[in-house]
This record gives sequence, C-alpha cells and structure tokens, in this order.
Amino acid sequence: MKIVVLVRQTPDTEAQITANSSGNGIDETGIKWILNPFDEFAVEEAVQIKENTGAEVIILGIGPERALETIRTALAMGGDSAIHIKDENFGDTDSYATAKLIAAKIKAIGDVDLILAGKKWIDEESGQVPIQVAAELNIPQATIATKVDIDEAAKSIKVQSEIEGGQRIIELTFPALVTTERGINEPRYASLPGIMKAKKKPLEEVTVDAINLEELGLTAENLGVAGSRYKVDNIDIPVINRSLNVLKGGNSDMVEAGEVQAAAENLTKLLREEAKII
Amino acid sequence: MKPVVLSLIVLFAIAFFLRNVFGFLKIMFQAKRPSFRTDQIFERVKGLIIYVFGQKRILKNYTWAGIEHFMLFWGFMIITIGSTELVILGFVPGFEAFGFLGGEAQEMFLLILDIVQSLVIVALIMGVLNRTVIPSGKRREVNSIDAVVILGMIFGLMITDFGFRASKIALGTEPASWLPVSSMWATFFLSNVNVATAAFSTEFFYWIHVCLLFAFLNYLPYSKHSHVLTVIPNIFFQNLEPRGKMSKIDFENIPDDFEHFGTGKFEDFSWKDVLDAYTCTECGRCTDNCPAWGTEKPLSPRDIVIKLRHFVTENNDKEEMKTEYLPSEGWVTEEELYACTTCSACVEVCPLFIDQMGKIVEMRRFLTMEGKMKGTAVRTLQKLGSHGNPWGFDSKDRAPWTKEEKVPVLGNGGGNTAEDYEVVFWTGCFGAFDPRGQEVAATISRLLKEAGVKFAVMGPNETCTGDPARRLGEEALFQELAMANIETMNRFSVKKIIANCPHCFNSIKNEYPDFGSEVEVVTHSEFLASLVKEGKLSPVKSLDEEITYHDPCYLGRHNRVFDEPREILSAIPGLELKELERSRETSFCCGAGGGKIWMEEEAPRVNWNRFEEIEASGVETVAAACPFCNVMFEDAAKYVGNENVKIKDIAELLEDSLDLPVKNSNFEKLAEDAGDKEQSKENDDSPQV
Repeated sequence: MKIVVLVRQTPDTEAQITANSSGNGIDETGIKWILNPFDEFAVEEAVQIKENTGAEVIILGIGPERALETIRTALAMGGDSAIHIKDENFGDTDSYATAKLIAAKIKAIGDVDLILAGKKWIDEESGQVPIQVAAELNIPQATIATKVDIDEAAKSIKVQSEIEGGQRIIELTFPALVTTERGINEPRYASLPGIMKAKKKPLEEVTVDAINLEELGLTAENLGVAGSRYKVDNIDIPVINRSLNVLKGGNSDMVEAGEVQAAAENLTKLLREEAKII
Repeated sequence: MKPVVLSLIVLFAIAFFLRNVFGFLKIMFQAKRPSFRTDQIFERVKGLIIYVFGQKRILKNYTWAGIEHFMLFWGFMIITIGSTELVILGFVPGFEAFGFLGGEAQEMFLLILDIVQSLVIVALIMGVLNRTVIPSGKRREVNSIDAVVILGMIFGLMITDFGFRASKIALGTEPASWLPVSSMWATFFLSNVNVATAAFSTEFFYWIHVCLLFAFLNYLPYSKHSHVLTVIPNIFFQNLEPRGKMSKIDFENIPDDFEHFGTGKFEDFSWKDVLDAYTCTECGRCTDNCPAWGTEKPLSPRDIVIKLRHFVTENNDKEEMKTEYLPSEGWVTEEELYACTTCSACVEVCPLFIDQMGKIVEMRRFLTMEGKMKGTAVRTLQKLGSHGNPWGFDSKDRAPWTKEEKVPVLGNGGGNTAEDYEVVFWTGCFGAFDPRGQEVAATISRLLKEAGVKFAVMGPNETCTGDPARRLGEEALFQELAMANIETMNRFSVKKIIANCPHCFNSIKNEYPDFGSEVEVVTHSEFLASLVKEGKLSPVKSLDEEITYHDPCYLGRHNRVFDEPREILSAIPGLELKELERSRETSFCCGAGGGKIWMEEEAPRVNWNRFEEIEASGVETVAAACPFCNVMFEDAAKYVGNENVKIKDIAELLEDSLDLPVKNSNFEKLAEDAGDKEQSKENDDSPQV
C-alpha cells in the first residue's frame, strides 16, 4: 500500500501575528514555523497505518525553501521518503493552482492508494487544497475524519466523522483521499536527532521550472500572488481585551442551593447588561 | 582418602565457580556504554565500610528486616571463618583457625561461632516470619522459591556445623564449656552414643556441611541472592557523580553506522548496569518508595532491574542479545518508562546502590529520540524548541513583575552586564510566566532588595534550562537550550546565580559544567537562609501557625539541601514545624519531575497522594521550595476540595514575617509607567536566545 501525506508549513500557534508593511499579508520576521497541526494528525495516522500494514509513506510538501524543515519533521515522525515542490512564491499561489500541481505530482508517483491531509491549514483557515486534489484526480474523498479503519484485502477505508448529533461512517475504495480532524490520534514527537536522521531519507526536490504547467492547464501567471484568483486587501489583527469576573457558585456539593441560583441570575444579568450578548 | 575426595570436591566447586564468574564477565562486557568508576578511591572504600560492613541502608526504615539482615551478614562473616576451618581440617587434621594465637583465642572463637550460629538461626526464623506472618501491605510479587532454597541452605549449614561440633564434643575433641549451644545438642542427641557412632556422626555432618557449602557457592550466581558475591564491587563502583546529572550524548562525533541514541539494545547499557542487575536481591524497597508504583502506575523500578537480568538469562549466547530491544512490548513498556518522575527515591533506598532511575531515563531517551513519545508533552517539547519555554509564550514577556518591582534586567540599555551585580536571580520559566510562580519570584526579589543584595535578572535573555527536555529523553533539545544559556551567561559575564527552581538549579549546577559552564549557582533556600543567619533579613513578626515542609526531590534527594529551608522556617517566630512521615531522604514526590508535569497522568495521581498526607497531618500551611511542587499542590488542593491547607513558598513565609512597609502601592506604579515604556522598547531590541 502506498500512502501520500500532504504537509504544509504554517506559523506557530503561539506566534504573535502582525500585518506586513503593505497591510495585505503577515510580517514573517521572527515567526517560528511549524508543521500544520492538522497535517500532523495526517502524518501520525499514516505512520500508524504503516506500523500495522507495512505501507509506504510518502510526504509531499509544497512551499518555499524553509518548508523543508517541516517536511523533515514529517519524515522524522516516520515517513519513508519525501517530495518538496518548491518555489518562493507558493505561499501566495491560490488553492486551485496548488491542487493542480499536487495532483500532477501524485499522478507521477503512480499507484497511490491513499492520500491523507489535515482538514485545514491553521494560517489561512483554508481546507480547499485536499478536496480539490481529490477532484483533480477524480477519486472519492471523505473529510474531517476522527477514525479510520483500513481493509487491506478489500482495498477500502472506512472513515468516521463527527456530524451534528452523531457519527457518519463512509466507506471509500482506493484510491481515496481523507482529511484528518483533531482526536483521530495523538501525534508522536519528532525529536531533533530524529530530524537529523531524516536527512538520510530520500528527498526529491522539484522546482517550478521543472513542471510542465501547460499540461496542467496552467501558465506561470497562475502562480504566486499575481495569478491568484483571490486577493487579500487588508489584514486586521483583532485587539483582545480580556477581563475575568469570577462568580461564586458552581459545584453543588460545596455551595448552598440558593447561592447557585443567585450566581445564575447574576450571570444572566451580566451577559445581558454588560456583555450585551443575550 | 579424605584429602583426595575433598580435593576433588574443592577443585570441582572452584572450577565450576570460576566458569560462572567468567561467564558473567563475558556478559557484563557485552554492555558497551562506557562508565568510569575508578576515581575517588577513598570515598569508595568509605562506602564499603558504611554500607557493606555497617549495613546502614539495610537498617534504615526497615527495622525488622534490617536487624534480620544485620545478624545474617555478620553471622555469615564469622561463620565463613568456621567453614574455612572445616575445609582445611580435611587436609590438616587438628587445624584450628585461631590456633596460632593460642588455645584461648581459639576457645573464644568457638564461643563466638556458637552464639553467632544460633543468632543466624534466629534471623532465619525472622526471615520466614517476614515472608509469611508479617503483613507487608505491598503490591508486589516475591520470588519465594529462590528464598526458600537459599534460607534452607543457610539453615542446613548452621545445623550441620552444630551437628559436627556436637559430635566432636561427644568424642571429647572439642571443649564443651566454650560451645554452650553445641553442648546442648550433644546432650540432647548424642548423650548415650558410643565412640563409633560419634565418629560416624562427625564425618557425616562434616561432609554434608562441606558439600552444602560448595553447593551454596555455586547456586548463588543463579539466584537472586548473588549479591553475596557482587555487593562489594557494586558498592565500590557506585555512582559518585551528582545523582541528578545525566550523561552527555556526544552529537558531534556520531559514527556512520550509528543506529539510535539512548539505551535500546543490551549493548547500550553499561557494565555497571549489568552488575546492578546481578546484584539485585528483589527486596522491593525501591518499588515500595516509588511514587509511580504507589499510585497504581505500571512502573516498578525493581522489575526494570529484574527484567534486565531475565533478558540475559533468556537471550545469552543467542542472536537476540544483539538484535532485540529492551524498551519494547515484550520487555519494558513505554508506559513503564514514561511513568518515572525521576524523583530518585528508588536510588536513595537501595541498600546495594543500584541505579534504577539511570536505566529508566536512558531507555526513555531511546524512545523519545526514536519518535515514540506521544501526548501533551509533545507540544511542550515543540514549544521549548521554538520559544524556549514550555508554553510557547513570547520570551519578550518574561518576568513582567520586574517592572513593578524595579528589578534591573541584564542587557537593557547596552553594557549592562552581571559585573555590576553581586548575583543574578534566575527566575526559571515558572517565575517568568506562571501566575503563582511570578508571585513567588517577585517575593524573592523583594527579599533580596530588603537584604541589600545587588542583583539583576536575565529577563528575555533567559530560556528554559532544558531540564524537562533532558529528562523526557530529548537530549539534543536539552543541549541546544543549555548551550544557548551558557552563551548568554558568558556574554553577560554571569558568575553567580540564585535559582528558586530546583530543576533549573540542578541542571545549571550539575549538568552545565559538561558544556563548559563555570557559573556558581545556589538555591534560594540556601541564599535566604544565609541572609537570615547574617542578620540581613530579620523575621520578627510571629506567624502562629502549624506548618509542614515538603522536600522537593531535586532540592533534597538530588542535591542534599535538607536543612536550609528548615532553618528559614525555624527562624520565623511562632511557626511550629511538624515533619511529615515521608520527609527528607524519604520525601514523597509531588509528581511533577522528569517532565511528568507536562504529561497527562491517570488517576490516582501522585500529587493527590502527597497532598492527602499533608492534609492528614493537620497543618495549616505547607511550605514548598519548588515552583513545580507548588503548582502540583495547588492542583491537588482543587481536586480534593481543600480549604484548610495553604500552599506557600518558604520565601513568602519569610516575607510575611518581616517588618516591612506596605509593598508597591498603585500610585508608585503609575508614576513609573512613563519610564517603563522606554525600558520595554529596549527590551524588544535585545537579542533573542
């Protein structure tokens, strides 16, 4: 079985984001970059499948030079080999073009049974690329998986997702694409020596010049910020004023019954009059 | 005829014994991690005297078993002389061990031997009672068959010696008056026998005794009682390094054929680990004192050591010895290895100086660096790597209280180095970011100011010392953080540090020198105690409270700071210090160490266990001297719904007892704000580490 995991590098969850000087992007100075946390679930799931079935895990990352670090992290978690499609402008390429590039590369790998990716990127809150890859490849997909179950003999996968009021289970036959949600697993730690060791694993680097864009129905103008089908006008960083107001009451063993009622009344009053949200 | 038969027995026994010894040495040196244990010869000999001949750790905390063992040990020492005499007697008729000192010396020896042998029988009965009647209340299994065989053999040796001496008394060749117990035997069993019977009985007991003796010698290496043979080397080669110091992995010179870091296969252990494994008597004191085991976790430090021995028994001379991994489902599980809080209670109580904790953390290293670690600590390590603190806060925001307290921050305004100050106060990540930790750190800064100590903090230039990374097994990250901190300390010419976090303290004191650090570091307990002693801080206000003190593992057991925190508390008028049952060397962990604070813990938790003990002691306040312990107790207090016990740092109690003016009015703060803005801007520009 051959699994491809799509990985993206995103700013650290704790990074303090500021807008850049032109106001339509983020200022990247001093930002720590990490493997997109939802992609981390996808890598972990792939590695667990590998541990159980002996599958081959290929990491596929797209992004500038620095994204290599993230790809190595995924390799250290247990990927067997990696492909890095790199170009300094890919960060601004829209999901349509990105998906086409990825789909083309997956076709080139050949005989891929399963594609795993995070349900969304935490930087742009976008979940478009994986599903567009599935569309490009014309294969079935299931999103936001909290549990997967593989039947190797039948070459199929059962995907469970949380839906309102219950669970949804979809069975897909290979080749298929699945996006992962928090809760599907607990990702392992990619240690520094592990990342160092990952340097020995096969890595294929593809530059944009080496890709025949015409075949994909794209031109060089479709890439980067200029070719994007959407434009970011302005980025605003919200100012958060946190305040804390502790109302007594709560655990019914420890407070008088009347106190709880009083606290509830007080809370309602505050929500209506001060927060003005009810 | 007799010397010939005896020679054959002796030669055969010795040959067999040597075969065992060489077999063992061969196994021992298949473990290849280097371990140098030949320094400090004087200390090593001292260790032998106190712990082998003085039986100090055997006697401590385990009175019944301790006395039993003391009697057995010394009994054995003396009886060995008697047994040797018996063997030589087979070659030299009429030989007397102390004959060369005259007849009286020999008579005295016989008297002592007679009494000691009786005491050994008493000890054996105590041993049987200890294993049967006396309830242990311990949740551990014991290998009884081995114990029965060994105790039975010792019993046999005693009985046959009595039989031999009693027979000789009957023959009239041994002085009855100097052998009171043997005489009783003679009177009881051999009062009316003829010379021939007595002679036969002498020979009979002689041969059984000699055969038993050599059987015993050759059974020992196969039993859990092999410590009789290995205890002297094991204690002589004990670890004399600070216990909290982990070994440095050299990442600079990695061989090309390298497979992994840490201890994964048998060859990754050290020869001393193997000697430890063959010295373990399975007494279980380590496990009795283990906080993980005590709270129903799967880890039993004793079993880790036993498993190493069983691994050899099963795989010796097979391919598996080289290929199989010990941290694996079949041997030592991940759950066991990640349950350790590195509190070192096991190492502290082991009468044979076995290093259980060292084996656990070395195997944990293997797991983590092979990418086996999962759960919440994954994020912690990622944040340590990206932000230099466990939460991923921006290092610009470290220790905001320094503004309020007007504490100088090194690097502010350029040229501001540690040379302008007496000491640097190392706040640690808790003092920098945790709300409770910040309160404690601010308190310490006020105390230092009050005592007139010229000090500064490193502020944004400080990062985590790497302690949790190292103990969780991520050695490369630890080294990265350690080297960054050492570089910063050198840049600011830091010479002396006060640390209130015992984990930071331990790393800087014991581990940083391996990376070129020469900085001196003291704990806040020691520093504040000396300020009190010198009269620079005078606790005058009476606090009228019943209080107890919890010994943090990395302050007490690991670094032997037991007295200073107590000195501070006893200097405070009105405080009545009540010791917990588990205190000082046998203090019970709060559950946070070894990076465990960053992992989810199954119920019942270690901190609940300890806090329940504190609550049950009936005190009003528990004093701690470690931010980790503080947090763990706050957490436990919430769980048990505690409203009675206050949790304080020793520094806070000390401040409460000083006669100080009202601290930090808001008015003062507002007045400072304008100046602070300037300062914080410079802060932003300071180099990030």
